[in-house]
Amino acid sequence: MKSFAYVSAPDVEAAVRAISTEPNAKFLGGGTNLVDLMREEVEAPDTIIDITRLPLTDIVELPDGGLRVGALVRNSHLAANQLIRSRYPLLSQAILTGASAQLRNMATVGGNLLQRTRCFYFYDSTSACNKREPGTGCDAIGGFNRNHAVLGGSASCIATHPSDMAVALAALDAVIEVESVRGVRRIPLVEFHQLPGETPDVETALAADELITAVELPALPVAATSRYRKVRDRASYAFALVSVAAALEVEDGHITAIRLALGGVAAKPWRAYEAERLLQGTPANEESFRKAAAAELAPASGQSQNAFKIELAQRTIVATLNQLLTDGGAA
Amino acid sequence: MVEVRIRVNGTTEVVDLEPRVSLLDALREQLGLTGTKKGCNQGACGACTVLVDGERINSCLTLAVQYSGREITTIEGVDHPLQAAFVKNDGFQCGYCTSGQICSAIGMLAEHDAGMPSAVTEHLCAPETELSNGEIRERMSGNLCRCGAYNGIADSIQEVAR
Amino acid sequence: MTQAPVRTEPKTTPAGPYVGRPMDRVDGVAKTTGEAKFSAEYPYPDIAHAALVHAPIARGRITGVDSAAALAARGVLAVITHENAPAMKPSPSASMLNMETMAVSSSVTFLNTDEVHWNGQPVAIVVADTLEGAQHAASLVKLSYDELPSTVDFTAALPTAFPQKSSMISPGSAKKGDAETALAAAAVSVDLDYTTPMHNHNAIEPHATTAFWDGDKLTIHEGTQNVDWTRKLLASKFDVPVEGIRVIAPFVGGGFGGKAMLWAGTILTALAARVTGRPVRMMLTREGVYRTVGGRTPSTQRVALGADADGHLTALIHTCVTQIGNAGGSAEQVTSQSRHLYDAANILTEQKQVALDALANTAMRAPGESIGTYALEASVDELAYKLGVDPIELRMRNEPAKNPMDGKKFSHRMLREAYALGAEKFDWARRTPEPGSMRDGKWLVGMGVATAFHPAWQFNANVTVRLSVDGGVLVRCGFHEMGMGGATAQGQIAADALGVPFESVRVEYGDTELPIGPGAGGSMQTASVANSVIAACEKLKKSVLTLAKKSSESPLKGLKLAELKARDGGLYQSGAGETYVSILSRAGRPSVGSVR
Repeated sequence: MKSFAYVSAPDVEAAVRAISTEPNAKFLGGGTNLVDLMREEVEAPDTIIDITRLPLTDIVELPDGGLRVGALVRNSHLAANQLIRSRYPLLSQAILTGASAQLRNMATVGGNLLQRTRCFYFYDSTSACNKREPGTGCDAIGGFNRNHAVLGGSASCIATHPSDMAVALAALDAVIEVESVRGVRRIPLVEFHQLPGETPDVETALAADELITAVELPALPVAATSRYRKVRDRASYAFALVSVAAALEVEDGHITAIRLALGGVAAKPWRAYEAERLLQGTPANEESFRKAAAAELAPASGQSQNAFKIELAQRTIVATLNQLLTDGGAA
Repeated sequence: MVEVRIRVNGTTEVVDLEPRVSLLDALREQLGLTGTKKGCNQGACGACTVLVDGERINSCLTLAVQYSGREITTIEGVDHPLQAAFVKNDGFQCGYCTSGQICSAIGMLAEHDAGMPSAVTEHLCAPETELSNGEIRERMSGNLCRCGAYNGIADSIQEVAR
Repeated sequence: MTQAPVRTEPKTTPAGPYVGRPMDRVDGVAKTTGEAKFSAEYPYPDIAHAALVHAPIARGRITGVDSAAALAARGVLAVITHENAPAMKPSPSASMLNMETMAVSSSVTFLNTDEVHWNGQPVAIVVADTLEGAQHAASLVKLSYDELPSTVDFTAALPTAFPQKSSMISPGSAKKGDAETALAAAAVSVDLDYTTPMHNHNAIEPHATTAFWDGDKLTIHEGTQNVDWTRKLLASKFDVPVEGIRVIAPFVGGGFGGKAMLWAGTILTALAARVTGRPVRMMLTREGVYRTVGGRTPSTQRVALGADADGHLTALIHTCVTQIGNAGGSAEQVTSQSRHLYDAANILTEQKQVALDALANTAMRAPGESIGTYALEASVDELAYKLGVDPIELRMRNEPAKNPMDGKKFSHRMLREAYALGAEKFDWARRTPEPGSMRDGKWLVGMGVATAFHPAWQFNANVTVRLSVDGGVLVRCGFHEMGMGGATAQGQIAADALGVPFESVRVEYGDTELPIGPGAGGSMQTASVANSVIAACEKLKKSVLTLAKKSSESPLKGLKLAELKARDGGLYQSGAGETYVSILSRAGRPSVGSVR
């Protein structure tokens, strides 16, 4: 790790001023991703702005019934919060399936959103990686790509976004609030993470000098009946091969409300709009689930080692919706 | 260099550190507290687990400078029934993961006492969950043991948790 | 050297031996309080830190080195490359006459050559006064290479496989009769292919070395499975007297075979200490372990079994291909169990290798047998299913009365009894053979059986046992602790052999200052040391008895050792006898010791 200057920001104003004036500066929250990337020399800021002292650690009820989560709320605290557990159980479950308990204690909400892919080639400075070094190529294509994307990839990059929390937030239509010296801005989560296209080095809609200050969850009654299901090689502490965040409301055997998002399949949490469109109003049964899942995965394309994800994603969607039908939500 | 004041095992330590020094390396190299172990230096094995204000973290993925003013507990500062339980239940072989296992288990028991659920908890909203063998293994999944003493580790924790 | 801490349990000799009784490990307190020190944890004033630079190509030559940026980085003391490294002696070739040569992992003399032999080969070592300084500076060393074509793909190289040479303990191939013809003529047969991947040991403690020179004398803390071989090889490499080298390893954070040989990190840390004149410490990064310490070779195997209609094997064929590095590698004995486990009229085992430009592969947890037994036993199960015969029954029908290849008698073989006992304990009778036919609620469950085979080796173990006038016993032997609980086990064995309380026995190990012990490998350390401990205790009791009989007052007068039981801290025949304390006190001897 190269040497760098360290400053600790006492408030948001100082933080955003620092990032706009210090050249090559980065915010540091829990450090569970950034410290690792700095040690691997993938990230090399000259200044670290420690934001862990900022007063952004509250979870507050909004007048309309939604919740506002401070960007520095630790993942474990967010998952354990009773309002989250009862109103948005898929979010609690998603966080709990991610990483390990120690990492969940350290990781912040903002940092979780900004974490970068774990693609081996991204980490390996001797490998071709358009995300790390634009124009060098993508060694994952034709290489070891079992963990890589089947949706939304490009000839430049097939990395996946590793966050479980973000998948649940995508299903909930969360909104991210960011601040800079220019003021405050709100970005829908589904627009926050970018697909690679020809610029895989551009990962989010966040400007270099913006600080995530909060994530807002809209009031969403269907979220009370929701689950997060993660399929992975180990029973715990492993990234998703495929994951599903789902919320389902059924009346008289028909689907009256549905939210669906996929993880492990793309460079962003994948909101399954096509599946939702097909499921809305249809009979709540396995046949509907299968049809919708197939339609959502129809544009998927597999690599040499990950084509199984296409079938696995469909089966996981069906299994998760079936489980919501028979067992209800996770709350 | 930054002057860092951290409380470690009840004593205030003042050290001048480069910002790039991890809490793990500050403990081991600067403070001579080698009980906390480095297994992977990337948050994958949990051997570096210490308690910060009673919460368990991986000290390898930190910058020590961030922990000014915090209360750190390392294995050297632990005096807990888990230690005797580990010996009694053979919860170790080579011993290298053991410090991390014990600190992590202490943190885990506190999380459980505070009513925090886990990924295997069937009813998320239940105010408390029984600490079954499955719950223990899930909650301790961030601590690897290559010698395979998991059964002894789980038994040790189960014995103390009762 | 390490020591069991003082225990506060009552000092009584309980009824019954210590061996076979659950015991708390004597190092339990040290390991559960952070007191146990591993190799990177010994403080030295003025210690410096090192980090490796790895070649990113599999085969080629270094054409240029630019250390300027690295040397200018904060706290850097040295950047050692092939351009400025002192000459070291090349590693000796493997020879059973000098057993330590078995621990040579690679023919490469690191930093004494501009040639690169595998992706990951160390091509520089950087030394700095801080850990962070060394690791960052290592990333600043710039090397240029002339890359050469290389062979790195195991599967692609299979057509080039060549016969594996026989070793003193294992034939490369073996033949009885004509197995292929018998297979073709068999009433029932299976012919199956298997692959196993490369495995890495992944001990939680990465390889770590702390080295300090004083002239030509070297003190080295090293997480190693063999302090003696490490010492001898380092003496050879640095061309210094072996007596001046001390290797200390009381606690090793897991080995699994990965710390049994001498790897680049150890040699280069010692080199860095020699060059800088400072104590130097280097713990490999996790990545550094993968790139400089070998793992288990991948394998591709064929097992073909031919049988007559009632399941008697007429043909047993087991062939395999594994890899070996062009610059070092261990021969994996994949087919060894197939020559011993089953009675077949015709047997063929054939082992081949492919040579790759890869990091030397090495021993890992039951080398050969773990992956070979898998293929053989799975095939026996497949044959059983095809025949409609129970898998245990099929094994019983083919249980050999003598060694299948050469007709030698077994000294001890109770597989029939083991199968019968296992079947009873696991309620084997309720098993239905159809795959997927057994359920437990929502779960599909199954029951299986397989035979494990591993040779039981013994190595030399030099042990001294000393009995003191206060009743204390000191056992000394340079064996190793990486989790097997050697100090506890040998303490139990010595306590039983001498009939003294376990708490009165101290065991010292893990240091070349001690009598040379066996390496921890091949699952033979405990047995090897135990035999020597028992033999030494026998000699000790003889010496004590002789000492006792020098006095006419001893109750042991006129008695032979064979007539006496060692118990309650002394030697007794029925009620009559004497404690060791009494014998030594009366003789005015502070201690009685023995060397095997």
